[in-house]
Amino acid sequence: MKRGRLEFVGKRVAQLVPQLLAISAATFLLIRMLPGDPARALLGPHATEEGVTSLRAFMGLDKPILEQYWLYLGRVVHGDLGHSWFTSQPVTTDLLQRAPATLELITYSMAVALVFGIAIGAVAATRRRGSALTGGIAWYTRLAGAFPDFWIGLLAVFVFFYKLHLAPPPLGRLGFAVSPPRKITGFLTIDSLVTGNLEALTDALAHLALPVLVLGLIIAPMIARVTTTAMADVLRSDHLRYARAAGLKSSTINRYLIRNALPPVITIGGTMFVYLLGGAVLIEKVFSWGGVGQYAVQAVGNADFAAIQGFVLLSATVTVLVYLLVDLLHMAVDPRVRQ
Amino acid sequence: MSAGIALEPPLTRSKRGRSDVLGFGLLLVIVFLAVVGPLFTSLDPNTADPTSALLPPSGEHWLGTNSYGGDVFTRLVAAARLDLFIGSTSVAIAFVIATPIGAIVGYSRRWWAGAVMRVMDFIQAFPVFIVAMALVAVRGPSTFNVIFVIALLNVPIFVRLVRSEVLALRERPFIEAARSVGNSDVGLVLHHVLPNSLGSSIAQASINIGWALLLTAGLSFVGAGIRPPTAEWGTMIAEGAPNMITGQWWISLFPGLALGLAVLGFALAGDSLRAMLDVRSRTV
Amino acid sequence: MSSEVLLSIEDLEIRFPTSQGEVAVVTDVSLEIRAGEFFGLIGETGAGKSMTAWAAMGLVQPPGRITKGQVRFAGRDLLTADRESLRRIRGNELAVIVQNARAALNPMLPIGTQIAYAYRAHHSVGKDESMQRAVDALRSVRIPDPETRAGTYPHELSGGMAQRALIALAMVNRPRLLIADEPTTGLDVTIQAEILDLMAELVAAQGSSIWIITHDLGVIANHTERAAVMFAGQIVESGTTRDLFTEPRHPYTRELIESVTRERPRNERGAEPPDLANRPLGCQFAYRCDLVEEGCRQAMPALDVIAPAHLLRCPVVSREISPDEAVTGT
Repeated sequence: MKRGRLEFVGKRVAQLVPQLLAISAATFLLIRMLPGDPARALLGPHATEEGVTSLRAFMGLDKPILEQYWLYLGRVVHGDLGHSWFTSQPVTTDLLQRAPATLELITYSMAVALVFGIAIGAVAATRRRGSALTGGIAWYTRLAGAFPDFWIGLLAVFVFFYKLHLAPPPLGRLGFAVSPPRKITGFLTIDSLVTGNLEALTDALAHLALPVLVLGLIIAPMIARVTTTAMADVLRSDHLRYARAAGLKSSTINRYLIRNALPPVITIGGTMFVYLLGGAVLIEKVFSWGGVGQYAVQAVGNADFAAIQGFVLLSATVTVLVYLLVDLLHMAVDPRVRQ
Repeated sequence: MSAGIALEPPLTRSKRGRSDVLGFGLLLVIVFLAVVGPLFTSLDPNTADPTSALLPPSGEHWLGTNSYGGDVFTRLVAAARLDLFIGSTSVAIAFVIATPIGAIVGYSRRWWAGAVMRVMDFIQAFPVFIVAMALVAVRGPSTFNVIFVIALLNVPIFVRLVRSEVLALRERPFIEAARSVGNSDVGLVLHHVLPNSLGSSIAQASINIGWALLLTAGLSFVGAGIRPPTAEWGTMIAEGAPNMITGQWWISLFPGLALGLAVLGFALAGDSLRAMLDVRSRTV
Repeated sequence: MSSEVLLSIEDLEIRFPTSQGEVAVVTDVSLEIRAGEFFGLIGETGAGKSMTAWAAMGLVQPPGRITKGQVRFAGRDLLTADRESLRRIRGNELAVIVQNARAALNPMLPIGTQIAYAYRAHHSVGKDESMQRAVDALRSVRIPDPETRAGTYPHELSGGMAQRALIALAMVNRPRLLIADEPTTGLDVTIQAEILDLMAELVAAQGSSIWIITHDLGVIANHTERAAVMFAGQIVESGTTRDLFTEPRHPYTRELIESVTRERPRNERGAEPPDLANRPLGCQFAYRCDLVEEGCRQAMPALDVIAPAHLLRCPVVSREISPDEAVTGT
């Protein structure tokens, strides 16, 4: 069966090419939608005439649009996402500097959501239909989906920082007085742990607590719902009934339960991760996080179009990769997928 | 702010009654507030009165005032009007554009139907908020652009919905019979297929209006949508954001609360509509 | 032939809640299966045959429940046994195969692995040895190239192959009794005989018993020594297979046998299935019986012994056979 797996991976990875091309085309067109001269817009309020002229030549703005796209694609492939007039740095540099902050935030939020969501979802699956827990999760889902996440973040700041003095002020990833650890991965928690900087570690965790809990607990109920359905389906299935009839050990049956309920959970995990990309933008603003999300917000406020374009390209690419990963995980777990 | 996933769990009959009441009740309150609310206040939502800045809720200012003295209640009510307008208009536009596309794509067996769906897939695959933010930023922050972008993002949802309804109906015997008798395809679609698919579209529209509200507020919050000092729930939350650290909770709390309750109302109502209209359409 | 009684079911009653109240889907069922015996349970769909079998394993699907009766396997009371004891018996001494083999197998694991798990559930051995046993089991059910096939997944198997794999799983622990619930229904006709012969061969080789449950009379005729006929959740006749086929006594049994041997279609007289929710007072078959008399509807007829090892639940026919003897109930 190895051949089948390899073919599937190959096919799926090959699909990346048209997807990435489509994304690049979309971000390319994004700038072309600006009213007026794109070059002038990209250079910002401090544009000089020579600057505009040379940028126009560089981007080939007098050339046919397909050629312009080709030039753009070439630059992107070489890692050139343009120049932010606001930070005076290449957009790629800006994004790389800030990406770890966002990644750290999203990763921990995802972890919280998965642990909490799967836990309550699994418990709900063992209860009868229409139990209080299942109903409670349903309402939790509705409320979490109805109230804006940035508003919940603000309320959390009010309650836990202003009133209860439990959380640090929402002013970034680290307190002013704390010196950041040496940068290895860019994840403050990992870097401080690895370099033995306990002060930075606890401070980073304290700052992570609120945004991570807000994001994580907002998406957790969705994961819980899917977990409940998936597990309930397995519990009711013919093959699980037969497994009991065959006298399999309860550890084996639990393993069956988890393995068979995994695919829908993988799917929702991917979907939630992509959702978190958008959610991070808002939460980063609330907590002044300094990640790519806040960078995007600032770019919008500053009409920094190169930065906006770069950010969209980055998020879209990450999205496509996440869905690829989801498909590959499905293939690894579910043999029926390989056909 | 949700991704395009159906949230609503199926409810038993008795619970359905309660959530029906709650959903439509909330909607009624919000609409009432939007329509009648201005009558309760004599203030202009855009006034600035620095002498009355940052006052907590009281008899005079029911929901307090913000950092430049604007009355939160007045602004809340004005924001309700704007937000409901944006939400319903954008979804309505998307519905009107998407329904014929969905019907054609669902009914036709030509190759380009698949291509259209691929485009829809493509649009739907991305983080909704980021795409919306970028589009509005590029086009310029205005009510029109917000409506445009939200409508654009809603089109694939309705196309997909109408298409699947049409696909299911296409194979039904009564359509075959009608076609064999000589009815034109277009006529069939218009008179038989579409009316039957309306039920789920209406239910979905309600849910989507809720999402449109959240998206609008989010866009305003990051400055890529409605700009302050226009009264919109998102801008109001943004205005009150710095004050959460200094303890003036009412400025952001009430608009967020109103927004959440409105979204909840639309979601529950959509669920109720789906249950009601679904049963009816199944008997056809 | 007297040998040890392996499975004995006494006065079994199973009730099921429905929108019309709690319905008795199985009532007053008693049967015995001996060591090394090939036993059959006949009846149409809904007669309660499967329920009886699963109840015998202690696995009635909730919300159904056993309200009366006893089940003893090799002397042990199955209905009051604790979970671990039951687990040790199931799949080990008492195994089952079902109609839809593919659905009974875990879609996510290769069949070899599943058989290995089934073996390790009852023997403490290592992975390698259990896999070896799994391969041997697959070989015994005549699956070609078993070492490679052990890595296939259920959805890659044809119906016949899946059933063989399931038989391998069920037999790997050499059970004393194999329950086969509609084992070949739904399989290609050409494969049915192969599978049945295979099953019979394996069971006989181990000296085990088999309990075949089916509505297919041909299967009963060819592969059982004794059988019981169920109607509306009750046993209406039981005896040797030969007797049942050559001299069916109960009007229902006659209806069944005649529909096969004389090629008269079953529903010629518009035979309606019984309404379990509204059971009549007396005989459950009375509503469509041509021998029906006044007394039939007044009291539930008991199972009479009309010959050694031949039971019959029909006082009208019992009287015909032995008019002078007082009819005794069982």
